[in-house]
Amino acid sequence: MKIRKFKKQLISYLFILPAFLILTIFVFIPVIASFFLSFTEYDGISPPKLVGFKNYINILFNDKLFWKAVFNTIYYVIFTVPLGIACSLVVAMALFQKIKFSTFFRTGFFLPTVTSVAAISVVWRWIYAGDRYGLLNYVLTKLGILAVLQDWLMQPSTTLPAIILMSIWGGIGYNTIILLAGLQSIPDSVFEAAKIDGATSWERFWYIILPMLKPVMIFLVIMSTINSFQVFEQVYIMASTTEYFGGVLYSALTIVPYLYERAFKRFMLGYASALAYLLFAIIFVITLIYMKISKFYEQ
Amino acid sequence: MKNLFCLISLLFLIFSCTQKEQKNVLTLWHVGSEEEAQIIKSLADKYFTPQAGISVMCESISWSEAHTKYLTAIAGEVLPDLGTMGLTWAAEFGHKGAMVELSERFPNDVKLLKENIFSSIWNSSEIKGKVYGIPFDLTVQLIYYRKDIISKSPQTWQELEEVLKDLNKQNKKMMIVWGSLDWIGFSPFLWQAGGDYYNKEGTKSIINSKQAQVALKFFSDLYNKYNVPRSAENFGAGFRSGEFPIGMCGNWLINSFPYEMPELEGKWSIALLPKGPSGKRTSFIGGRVIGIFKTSKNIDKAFEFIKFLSKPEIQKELYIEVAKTKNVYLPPNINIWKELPIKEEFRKVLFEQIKEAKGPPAVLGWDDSTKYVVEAIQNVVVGGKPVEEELKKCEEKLNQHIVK
Amino acid sequence: MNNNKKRCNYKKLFNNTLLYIFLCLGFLIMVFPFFWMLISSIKPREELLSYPPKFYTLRPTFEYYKQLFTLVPMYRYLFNSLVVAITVTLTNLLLSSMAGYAFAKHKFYGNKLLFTIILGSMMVPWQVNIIPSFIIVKKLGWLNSFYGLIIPAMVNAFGIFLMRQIISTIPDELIDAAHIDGCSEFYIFWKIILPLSKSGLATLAIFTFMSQWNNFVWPLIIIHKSDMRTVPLSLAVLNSQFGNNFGLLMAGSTVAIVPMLLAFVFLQRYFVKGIVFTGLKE
Repeated sequence: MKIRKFKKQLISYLFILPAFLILTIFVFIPVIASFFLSFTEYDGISPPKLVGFKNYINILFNDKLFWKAVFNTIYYVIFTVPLGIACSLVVAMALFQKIKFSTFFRTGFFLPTVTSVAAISVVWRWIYAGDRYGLLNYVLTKLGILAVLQDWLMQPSTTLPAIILMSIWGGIGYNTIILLAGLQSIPDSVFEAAKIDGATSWERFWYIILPMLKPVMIFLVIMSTINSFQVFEQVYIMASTTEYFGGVLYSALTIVPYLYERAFKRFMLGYASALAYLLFAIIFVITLIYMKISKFYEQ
Repeated sequence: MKNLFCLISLLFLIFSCTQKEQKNVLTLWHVGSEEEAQIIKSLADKYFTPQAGISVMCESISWSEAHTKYLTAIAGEVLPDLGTMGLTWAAEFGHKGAMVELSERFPNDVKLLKENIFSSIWNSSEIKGKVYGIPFDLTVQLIYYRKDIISKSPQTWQELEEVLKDLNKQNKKMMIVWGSLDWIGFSPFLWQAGGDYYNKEGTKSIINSKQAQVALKFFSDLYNKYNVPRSAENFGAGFRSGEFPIGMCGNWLINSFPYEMPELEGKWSIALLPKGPSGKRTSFIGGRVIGIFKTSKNIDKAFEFIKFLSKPEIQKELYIEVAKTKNVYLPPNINIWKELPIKEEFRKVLFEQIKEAKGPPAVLGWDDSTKYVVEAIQNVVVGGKPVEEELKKCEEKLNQHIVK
Repeated sequence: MNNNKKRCNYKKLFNNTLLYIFLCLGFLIMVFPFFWMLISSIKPREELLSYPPKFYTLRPTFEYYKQLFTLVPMYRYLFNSLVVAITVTLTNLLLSSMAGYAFAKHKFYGNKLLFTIILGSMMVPWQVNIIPSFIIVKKLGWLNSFYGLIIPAMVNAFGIFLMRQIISTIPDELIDAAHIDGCSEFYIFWKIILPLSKSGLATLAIFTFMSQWNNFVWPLIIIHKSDMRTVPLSLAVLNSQFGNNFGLLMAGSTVAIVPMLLAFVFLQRYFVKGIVFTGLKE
């Protein structure tokens, strides 16, 4: 009996082994290496010098920019994750209906996700540009909504909201596809049973579809949280120039662009690694809370 | 599903056709466009390889990620022989020990090169007598203006203010394209007012001076009193429509504007920056330098190539070839300027402005300090904070970051 | 009764109209920036700088596309990108679903711990792992090669997580029944799990293909030879230092999107199911 159990377990390990091997070499080892680097001073050229907790202490107690970045990142996450998922849920439900031209619509909603941020940011910069030349100003003044022309990406109060809007726009396609995949796996019998029970479509959505989507929803929430905490390209491309980063007066500075600047513009790799592990700690705690609330391992 | 395995194994077969390393080759990483890299390569094939007996491979790297690529390459010790890079990077990498100190290894040649290169750009690439990179090209801040809207480009700050008042009345504005709200846009005003970031020896910051206060006040007025937009998008469209008939921008538009707005032929020009209170028209100059990495096995040949690229006739060809792509390459070599096939009125302005220009301060630690200057500028212009206080804070930070 | 039915039909029509209006509006907003990109790539140079912005052009030009394919060996870059994206997608499908299956349906010692480690590895920003990974790949001698582009990406934590979640929606009873019939684990995986998670696999395929196709920083760092470049790398060097070649960049970006769109249209046929929209009790 024991041998059989052992054999059964062995098969499980065999299923995981190839993936684990590759992850170990190309993910876990670099992760451990950069964790080690976070306790050193390292400029990429001379060998790393051990400094203990100095980087962490400096970040937590002497680095105002870090706290600004933490604040901005949380601001970004709080808006992007719930709004992004809510919008995607609406779009996914609409696309899940039996509609004409469904491939056409799905492809359209997926387009922003496919396009690289670098290419599409050129267009967004033009949308957000100041004066009458920016498309957003042009449209909003034509519609009479806006009286004073705004310079959306160059004034501290609107930079981050502008980036949030763009991120939600870019994420809808991504989330929608995952939700659609989840909806696909709900057996037909469930929908039919609900029909016979005479549930309204709202009841069906709330009491039947949503609970069935739970594993996918948890996945989405965790992934969007991780991705939003690590927001990089949008800020790096939209709100940075060669001479400053994270928007005017750091109004859109988030953690990863900050650590990227430390690491690759200033060659402070140890410091950047420490920043990364502080971010890791924040995300890890939040994910654990999610998992507790959603009873992740008891599904 | 079985096909899946077939496909994978087939694709792995393809991998085996990777090439062997070539030996007798100089590799150059060029921070810039693919077109430029190909021009450099073809010039090298044509004139350099036959005489030096070594071929040159030229790889382009995009500007935005070049610093990252160099850093990883330095950390992993997989470097090319040569690299072009931002003006201050060579000293930065060199100080960390990744680059050959040219002034030490080739002192006589470097001295010769120095004599023929605009001192405005050279000064930024030589720090305390050490040279790690030789200027490869230059970019200078200029005034672009519409002759049909502004009859004469403003010659002094006062004239600039009058022009702007006039324009504002007609709902027109000026635009600061290069360095809006950062130190690049601010520097010319600082220097024109007679101020500077550091003292002559580079040992102490003097940014909290009367002159700097005047400059920052004026810079702030441009935005807050004369409505210069903060973002510099759409200068081209606005210049064309006449809404932004004057702008401060680098020289890179002089060859593309004629193609983009053919109907304005003869109706626009470039001009020197206006004189400040000190009577100077100092502009900001930037550019790329070319240097040799320590890991190179062909340092002597690599330096031959740098000398080759610094030759006046080669720089002239570079200008001509790059102009064909509607971009601009400006040679750092003074001697070739008379022969460049460039509009006479442009040549005069460019030449004079390059002579009266300054680059980033040649002080180690400047790269770490720019963000404090930017902070001070933005705090004043956007945040409305008092000028004196911000400059005082900035000076303290700059002093802290000077590498002794 | 009859009257009631009529009312139902009106309401249905009304709801349907609302649905289509919503979809069309959303569609326009989502597609607009892409549309602008496309238009910019065929506008003649002197129309790029115009005000008010023109959303059409009467004199389309294909100059930028011609330039794109003559200036750089674009076919070679497309080929490189395709090889990498396809291989990585296939290996990801296989390895992620294997691991995802074990994590979702097997009880073995260390299941939770190993999975938490994998999940945790995603929380470290990749930016700090660049240099250690680069040094590993260099030690393996895989710089400038397909190996360096493909093998590190053969599986990732995201894929394992996604497949675990998708597979955990499959009822346990199906697997138990197969066990009772004496099927082997591999048989169950291949014949039961994989077919049932088709939509999940299609999703994973789309995302893996997409992320590989757009991957920029990793190829940037490990590729030093122009003939091994991928499409995003070649796009990055098309534009000059000061962005003087807008049209060319837009043309390049448009070309880069096409394979992904094809992959998407091809894979989304696995999303066949749909429900009939109604707004009332039936």
